Amino acid sequence: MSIVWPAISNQQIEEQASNFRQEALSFLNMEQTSEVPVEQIAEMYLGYELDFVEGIDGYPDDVIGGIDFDTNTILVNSAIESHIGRYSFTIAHEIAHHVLHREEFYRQSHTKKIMCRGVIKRPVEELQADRFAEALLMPAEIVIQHYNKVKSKNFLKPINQFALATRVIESSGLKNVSTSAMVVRLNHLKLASKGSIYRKIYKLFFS
Amino acid sequence: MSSFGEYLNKLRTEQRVGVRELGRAVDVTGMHISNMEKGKSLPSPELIVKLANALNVDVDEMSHMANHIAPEVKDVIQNQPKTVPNFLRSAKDLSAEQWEVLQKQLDAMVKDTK
Repeated sequence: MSIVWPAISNQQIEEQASNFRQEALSFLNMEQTSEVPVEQIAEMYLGYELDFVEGIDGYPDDVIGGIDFDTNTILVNSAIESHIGRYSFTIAHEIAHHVLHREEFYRQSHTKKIMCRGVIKRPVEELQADRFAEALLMPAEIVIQHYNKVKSKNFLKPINQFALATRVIESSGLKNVSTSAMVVRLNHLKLASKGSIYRKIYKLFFS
Repeated sequence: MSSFGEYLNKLRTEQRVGVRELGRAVDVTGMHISNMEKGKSLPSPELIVKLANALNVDVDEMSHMANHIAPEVKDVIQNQPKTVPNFLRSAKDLSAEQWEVLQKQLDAMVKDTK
């Protein structure tokens, strides 16, 4: 029987991620000066062991990470280790499952032993974990603060989303996130929406 | 976990260093660090030096934990293949205090020769 995951609003996820980050950093006696130390949070705050694997038995090849609640292990596909953005996001995503889904996983009858992060299939619990992961890795207040520093001052010449994301990463020091993850974050925070009024005006007059 | 694995994991955890982060600091993968901590592999003498520097511990202590002899010490033994083993055999039953006295005399001798 598959697990029925309760609906959680994006706002609730944002709040949970923010509170969780503050608690974790306080426990680790670390200040958030630049990137969010997800490795340390997973290992030293939550007590998970990181296990680098080349694949997870019984799961599709596109699985890049997983969490085994029974053995307190976060599985990371070794192929992504060289890509800091994907690596950090995968760990943040598995942390999200711990925070959002662990209790429900044990409460409901289940046959699966491991929750896995794939690339192709994105069921609701995976989307929730993605949202938590981005909020954990890219704190809204920091992203907004640095967006305001680097955004185009000329509303008629908006900056391309990828260029904007790169600038925000460089300015904020959130170096363990990928440009594409920052683009998504900016869109979710409505800072680089395709439908922004500036972009519409620009397209209307200059495209 | 092997004793070296436990030792490395303890140092890393105490200093709040991530597994990949440590790997990057000593030019290996996080997977390699993880494997050493699980006792699946042991570090090379060169890696021990890098790990000791990255984690601010004594190279000899880390070498000892990995059942290695530091390359510098190995060179001394190989350059004096009879003298050093004979000396160590003679000194094997010395107490900690006697080793300390010996070390002081040795330090003074080294100072005089400079």
